[in-house]
Amino acid sequence: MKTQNKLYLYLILSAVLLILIAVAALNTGVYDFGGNSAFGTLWQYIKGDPALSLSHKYVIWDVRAARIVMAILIGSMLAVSGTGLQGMFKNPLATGDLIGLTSGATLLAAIAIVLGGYFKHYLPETVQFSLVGIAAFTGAFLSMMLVYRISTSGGTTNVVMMLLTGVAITAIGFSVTGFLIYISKDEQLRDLTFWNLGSLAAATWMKNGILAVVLCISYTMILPQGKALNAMMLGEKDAQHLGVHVEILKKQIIVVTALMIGTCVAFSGTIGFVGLIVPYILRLLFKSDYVFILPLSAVCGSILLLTADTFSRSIVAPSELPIGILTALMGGPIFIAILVKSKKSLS
Amino acid sequence: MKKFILAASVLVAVYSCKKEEGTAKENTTESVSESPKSNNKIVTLNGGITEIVSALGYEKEIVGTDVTSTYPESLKATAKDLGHVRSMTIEPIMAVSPTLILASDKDINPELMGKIKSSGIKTEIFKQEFTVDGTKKLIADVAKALGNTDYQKLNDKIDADLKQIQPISKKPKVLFIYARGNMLMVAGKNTPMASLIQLAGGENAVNDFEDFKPLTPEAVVKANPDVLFFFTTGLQGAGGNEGALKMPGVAQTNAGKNKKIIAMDGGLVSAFGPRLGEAAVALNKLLVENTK
Amino acid sequence: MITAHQINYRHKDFHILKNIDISLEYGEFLAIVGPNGAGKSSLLSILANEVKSDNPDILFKNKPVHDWKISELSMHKAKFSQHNSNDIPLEVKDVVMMGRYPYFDAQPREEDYDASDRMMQETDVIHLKDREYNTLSGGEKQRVHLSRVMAQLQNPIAHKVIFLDEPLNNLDVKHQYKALEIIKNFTRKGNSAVVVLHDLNLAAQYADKVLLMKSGKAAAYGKPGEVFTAEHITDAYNFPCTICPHPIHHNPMIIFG
Repeated sequence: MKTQNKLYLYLILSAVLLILIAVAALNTGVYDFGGNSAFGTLWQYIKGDPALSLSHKYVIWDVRAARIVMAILIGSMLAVSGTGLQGMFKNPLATGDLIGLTSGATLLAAIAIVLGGYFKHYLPETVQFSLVGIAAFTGAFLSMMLVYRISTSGGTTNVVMMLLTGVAITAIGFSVTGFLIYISKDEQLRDLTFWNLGSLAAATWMKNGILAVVLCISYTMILPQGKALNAMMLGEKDAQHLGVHVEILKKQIIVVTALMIGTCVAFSGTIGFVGLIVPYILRLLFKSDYVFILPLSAVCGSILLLTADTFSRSIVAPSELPIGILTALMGGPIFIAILVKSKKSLS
Repeated sequence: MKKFILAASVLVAVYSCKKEEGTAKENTTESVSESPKSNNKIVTLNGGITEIVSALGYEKEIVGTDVTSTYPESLKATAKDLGHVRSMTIEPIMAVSPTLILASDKDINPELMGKIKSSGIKTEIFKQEFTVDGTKKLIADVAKALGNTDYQKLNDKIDADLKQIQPISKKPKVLFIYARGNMLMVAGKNTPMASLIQLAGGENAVNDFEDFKPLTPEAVVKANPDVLFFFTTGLQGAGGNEGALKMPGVAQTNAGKNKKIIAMDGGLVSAFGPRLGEAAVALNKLLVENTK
Repeated sequence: MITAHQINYRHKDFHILKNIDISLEYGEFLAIVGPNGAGKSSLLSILANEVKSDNPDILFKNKPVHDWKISELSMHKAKFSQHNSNDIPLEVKDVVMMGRYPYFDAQPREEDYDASDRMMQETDVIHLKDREYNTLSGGEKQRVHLSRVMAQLQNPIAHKVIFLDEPLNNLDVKHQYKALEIIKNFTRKGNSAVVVLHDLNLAAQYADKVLLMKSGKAAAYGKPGEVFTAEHITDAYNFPCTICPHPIHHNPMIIFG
């Protein structure tokens, strides 16, 4: 079967799966819609049915639907950023959280919140939001530059250095962020659990809007680069001989992944391992063919996070399990699997 | 470091403590109303507020509380426990279909606050001051939110209870220790415990800092309390009096040497509601006994 | 085809290449030989436009190399590099297909499949096409890359050039000769090849021109007969050798010792 058609087939299958899960997620939750099903309530909302009570409307649209959409957007971006990073560093362990990008983003976001606290009264909420987002992006970007400089020379990545730099950045980020939270009484800083384990509970349609814009911009730049990332596996010089603009590609990936990770961290805290799990599973099916795994990770990332979030809401209802715990639960064993498999090449 | 931060947030959530920011704020805020004034289903997200609402006679109308609302105990049967305000989400609150939400401005997760405000349900947020006057004001404000003017008897009760406090000749230094698992924190200034201790005739042993901070042996020795003060559950969990005496730095203090350890129910101590007088009197009794 | 004058290449303070002049004609097979560290790979890299040298542009088909778009260039020239242990988790046929990347956007076309199949046939790896690249032996991987690089230049454009850095490493004798035949056939069609070789005899047998390098300089440049003299070689390699005519095809035969 032709490559392109195969890709489309898988994309459609995954999209269908995503829709099914979204419907299931819509139906999950402790709230009772007074005898009506969740879906029916949503339909009422879409039709603009005046008989729909405000509370029902609120829960179905601003609480559940918003959260589901946020899970889809963030899951997708986290997965794609992981796949892109792995293409650039030519290693399956390169993900935003493992190489320290999310810690860097968290750190600068926390600093922005603390500093912003002093100007809080002079700035409207949208500006505050964007400041945090921009700070998170800058943090992710700076971490990325640091990791790249230290671990990559002449186009080959020293994997050990890459991961260790990530450890170092994570340590610094964690301690400084923790310190800021400790000395600051600002409620905006929330608590470390949010930053470390993430949460989608604060989903709003405005945030979703911003996420969607970031997603569109990033995907137009990165999704078509499947072939180029494949060529990178031959080495940067050889990729250049094949017509790939290597330097431009690298810059694009750096900026795009920093943008995606920064925005996701700013809105949902650190949700780890999505960028590790999704590409790993896709590689089992498609080898490292980025023409397939890059676009597919966009859909499968959503599936993963949405499923995890739905579980987090239902396992210990009415309370919630922090979503980072679930992703770590899935990601830990996969991390080990990757290590075992690449035992030879890493030593 | 991680565990401590988590425990700190849990602690702070559970016992609603916040440092004042210096500026006095208006007491009540939003009223986005979509329901009739007769408050049929109330959600109370703070221990003290729950007690006030119950004491004013509306206990049967409470359908949901936060985890710190442990009094009156009969609530366990009629109201749903919605969890900690720091980690609560909006859906469980909406699931009990409240017509009125009452909350304190302390520790509530700002995202949750945002979601509550945009839900369209009538919400009142009260500023809580840990003083006698602050408590009386809270009682008045909550009553007003319920459309009730008959709250004076609650304030009177507090005053009557407070009159039973006996003066203590030598003001004891009291150190409150929050013990949960391996985490030990002490209460500084501007905590409910510090206020209560003062009301009961004692002096808070730690005045160098505000809020709760981890226990360090040096700080304990420096503070040199005469009496150690715990929550009943906390002391139990730490291994009773023996466990308390083993805590770092304690053995060097007056309290440790004289084995002066007291404990009270957590809900009673931190609510700062109608039972404030009771709490102060109970603490006073314990202090008097332990400073003879 | 390619002209480069006075190539100088420095790395920090060390002169890797000094004042080298190269001019490559259409249909020419140029072999670059010399002892280790002579700068052969560096020269090849510079000619192939992998690195920038410190001096004026190399002219490729009479146009400065920097004026070419790299997407176009990739259809005119290709390079075979020595591959370090790069992990490529793909199947062999996908690796070879990468050589055709300059020609299609999303989907390989009929001609791309044809070109890659044909080249895999020639380098004798066609039976491995569905195997995972990482499971191959060193020599097999080498042949896969050779077919990739050759597939890259299967197109109707005239006068292409291929750069090969020690393509015969790890290959057994039969495949060594096969590879050289493929390259020679390529040059017979009006294309050029620049090949770094270790084996002087093979260079003598197949090359049209030879560049003998020593310590970053051109020690000798010209036809194999001119370059391969006992003096030149002994001097360059610092090792005694004798030349005698090859009994079968009369090219010089170099014997060390």
